[in-house]
Amino acid sequence: MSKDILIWVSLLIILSNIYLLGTSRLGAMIRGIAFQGILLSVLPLLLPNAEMHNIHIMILCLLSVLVKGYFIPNFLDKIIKNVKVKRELSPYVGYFSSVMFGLIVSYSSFYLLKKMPFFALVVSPIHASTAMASVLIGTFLIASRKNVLAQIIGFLVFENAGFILGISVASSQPLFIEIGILFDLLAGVVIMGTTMKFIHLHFKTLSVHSLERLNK
Amino acid sequence: MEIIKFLITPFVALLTAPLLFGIINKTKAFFAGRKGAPVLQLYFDLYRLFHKSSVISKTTSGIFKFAPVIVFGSTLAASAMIPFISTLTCFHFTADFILLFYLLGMARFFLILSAMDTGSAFEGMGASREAFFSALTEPIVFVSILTILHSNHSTSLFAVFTLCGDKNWIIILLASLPLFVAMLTENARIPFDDPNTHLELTMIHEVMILDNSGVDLALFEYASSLKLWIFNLLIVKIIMPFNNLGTLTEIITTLLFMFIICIVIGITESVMARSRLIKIPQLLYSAAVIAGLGFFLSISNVIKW
Repeated sequence: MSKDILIWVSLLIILSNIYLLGTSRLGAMIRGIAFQGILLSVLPLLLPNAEMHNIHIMILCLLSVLVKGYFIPNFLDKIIKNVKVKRELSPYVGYFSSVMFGLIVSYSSFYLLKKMPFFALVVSPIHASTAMASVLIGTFLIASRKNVLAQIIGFLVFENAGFILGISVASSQPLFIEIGILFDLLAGVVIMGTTMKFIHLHFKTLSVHSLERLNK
Repeated sequence: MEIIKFLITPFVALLTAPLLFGIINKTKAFFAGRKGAPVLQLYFDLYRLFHKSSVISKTTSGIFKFAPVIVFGSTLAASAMIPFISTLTCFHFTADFILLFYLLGMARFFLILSAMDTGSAFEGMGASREAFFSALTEPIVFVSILTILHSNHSTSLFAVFTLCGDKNWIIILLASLPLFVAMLTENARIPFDDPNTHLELTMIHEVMILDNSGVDLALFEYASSLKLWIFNLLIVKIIMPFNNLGTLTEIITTLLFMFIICIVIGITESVMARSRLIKIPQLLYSAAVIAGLGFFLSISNVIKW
């Protein structure tokens, strides 16, 4: 039964990735990443190896829900409300093609995983493949969008992928590292958010395209 | 006597199909706080229409006259492809689902032709929309059915529906959800089309049968209720959790599940508004994404580790 829930969680993560690729509204993107963060946070509790179910993992889950599901989305939401930018208008790659890319990457990662040398070490293959797809989708979001917020979301997807991979491949690593990464992430998003605010202050837009004018 | 086995599904379809619209409308009436039309309203309507003579416009050609018969006939023939009672045989062979959906496709083709035959710009518009949306739903339907067939290691719908065994609920849900969306589109329900409006610029199915009257209209209405019945039975047969029941119990549970799906359609129509025409391809696209995900999960065997 817990295996079924695991598969549902990873399917929802894939679908939320595709949703992030397909929406142009920034508010929807923030809600999508918050949803994904909460899904990720419950993931360690569902994994089949029983020795992990201790107090440390509970603390990690709780902190992760707080940071990924509450603090980061709220912070980004406040900035979006502040700068009054609602949607991204012209990404480098269109939304239809982005969703297509997301689908192809998700599907091919199912196959690719079986060819990987570490397949035998993986705790749950479907999560490792979800993580692989998320890495590529996160990178794609960073590369294909002009909007700073969409790029931050891409970075968060990328980081989430690392989290899933860490849990599903190296389940015995110290959780201290994960908690440390969590706070690095929070600090990183705060810095990026502040940068975003300044970009908007100077250029009246969130598009990184405007940064080309800096050298004048 | 052998032939009777094959005629059971069409017979039950003819008998109970108009009831489904009654249940949907009653659910909608309940949500709107109305008393609503009686559940058997479509039977009364069909009875009334069959006793009327039709008026045929002078601009139409022969297609307009025989289209209702073809539409009704091919939809009824399509209903014979799904086993209503799994212990009795129905028409089946390798890849029979292609014939099933192309019989429905032929019905749609003649419906579109007859709408264009009237020469009215309004009906031509409806026909064009019908062709567009059905082209978008067809891949969804086929991918979902292929997912179900693959996960059961079979090539025939009959074999899948009569199989007793463990069901993979992830695959089933990922296949039946897009099929439900396809059912709403194909049968012109909200959020894709509003079955109640008659003179709105947004309607699709109703506009195509605007010029038909009397027996012709009755045949079209009957055919559309049969089509809803076929899709409904298909979904019920896919998600029905138990197969090895007695014949009588199976008839009752199947009908019960079909009524439940009708109530779900009614609830969907009550809580949602009709979406804008330009948004419909996006909705269908997301359904196709889910269908594709199910298909690739099924063929890559990731689930069984």
